[in-house]
Amino acid sequence: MMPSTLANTFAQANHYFNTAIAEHFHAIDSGRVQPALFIIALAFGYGVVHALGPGHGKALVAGYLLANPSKRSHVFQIGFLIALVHTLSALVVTLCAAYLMNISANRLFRDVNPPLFQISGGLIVLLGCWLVYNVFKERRIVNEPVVGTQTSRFGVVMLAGVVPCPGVITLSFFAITLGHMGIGMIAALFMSLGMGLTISLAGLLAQSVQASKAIATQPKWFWAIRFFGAVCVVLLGLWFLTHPIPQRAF
Amino acid sequence: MLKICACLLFYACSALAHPHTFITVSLELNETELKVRWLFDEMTSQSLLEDFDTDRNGIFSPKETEAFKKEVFNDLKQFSFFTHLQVANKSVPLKPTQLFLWRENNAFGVEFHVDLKPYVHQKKSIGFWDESFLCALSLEKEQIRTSLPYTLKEVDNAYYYGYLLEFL
Repeated sequence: MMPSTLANTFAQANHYFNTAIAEHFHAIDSGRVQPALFIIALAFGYGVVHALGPGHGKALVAGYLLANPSKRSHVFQIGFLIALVHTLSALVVTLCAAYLMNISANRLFRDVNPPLFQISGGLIVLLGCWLVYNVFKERRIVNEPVVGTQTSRFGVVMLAGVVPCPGVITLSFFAITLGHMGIGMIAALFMSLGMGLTISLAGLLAQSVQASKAIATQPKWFWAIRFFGAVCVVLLGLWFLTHPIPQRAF
Repeated sequence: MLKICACLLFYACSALAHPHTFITVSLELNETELKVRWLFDEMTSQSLLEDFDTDRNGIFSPKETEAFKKEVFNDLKQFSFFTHLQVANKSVPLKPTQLFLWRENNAFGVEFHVDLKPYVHQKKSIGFWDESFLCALSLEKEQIRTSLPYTLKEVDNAYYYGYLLEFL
């Protein structure tokens, strides 16, 4: 299967959820509860599919988990918290735009996203350097279980989540313009649950690589994979820094 | 090893599709002019209507159109307006001559014209895609109005998809 065929499939899935949610928002005016429930369910599905695309912190989580072996419960904690912060930052942008500045949320997003993206990139580089230092420091105790600290986990959550999710911005602003802010906020939160699931699964995949017998029983490999994960985090941050998001139209 | 492969595949796939905006393209063209029309998905349309139909009358005045051109449309030059013209197998920078905006039900529409007179009787092709893939464009045969013979095919690009219109 060609990559673009996959791209097409993802795009169609995103388009389906986008259109279906918009249609059900219009149906809310009929006074029935059913459309609101459909919106919530669709928002969850939209979140799952939406987070499959680039961004949303998956690569950062994967690099962090390779460098910093964590418990399975911590992987889910990181995944869902990133999605929540990602959504909350989007809701802040949307509400500020709609109620304080009287402009569309996408217009404000175009202004705040490029600097936020670069600040986040710089902080990710610092986090990556810290991970490289720690992994290097622990190179002699490679086959002992290592668990990331609470502070570093929440650092990853903040760095990955702070850039607002444009999908949530579009959805919640659309809801506000139709006069359904409440449902819009609930839908955004369910969208974040869907995204959290995808991000967590991406993290679990990285965690299972780290925990696989082939690596866990070979101290050199175990250390090498940790080092690789830490370097990936540095490179990811550098990439964000050197590839600022262009000023987008929509 | 299987897990490592699955992991690599997953993250490779993650670098794929992620459109936030969906645009239905329709075309009208002859030897001397190309007219491109975009109709946006409802969610994006709502946002664009809020920003540019400032008097909320569903009609775009020259002032509102100019604001859209300055704030949004001109920036699309870096993406070749999602319209990649090739003449004699060489890429040609697109220079839209006219711009119109309209509202169709809940959708926001954009129309721009491109002068093809300098390229009359030369072999041409036009691609429709967004390389950053934040916009997904769709183009069907039914949305093309022309008397020129052409073929339309879907294009497999590196990580995004598009459509290529080739004139025979």
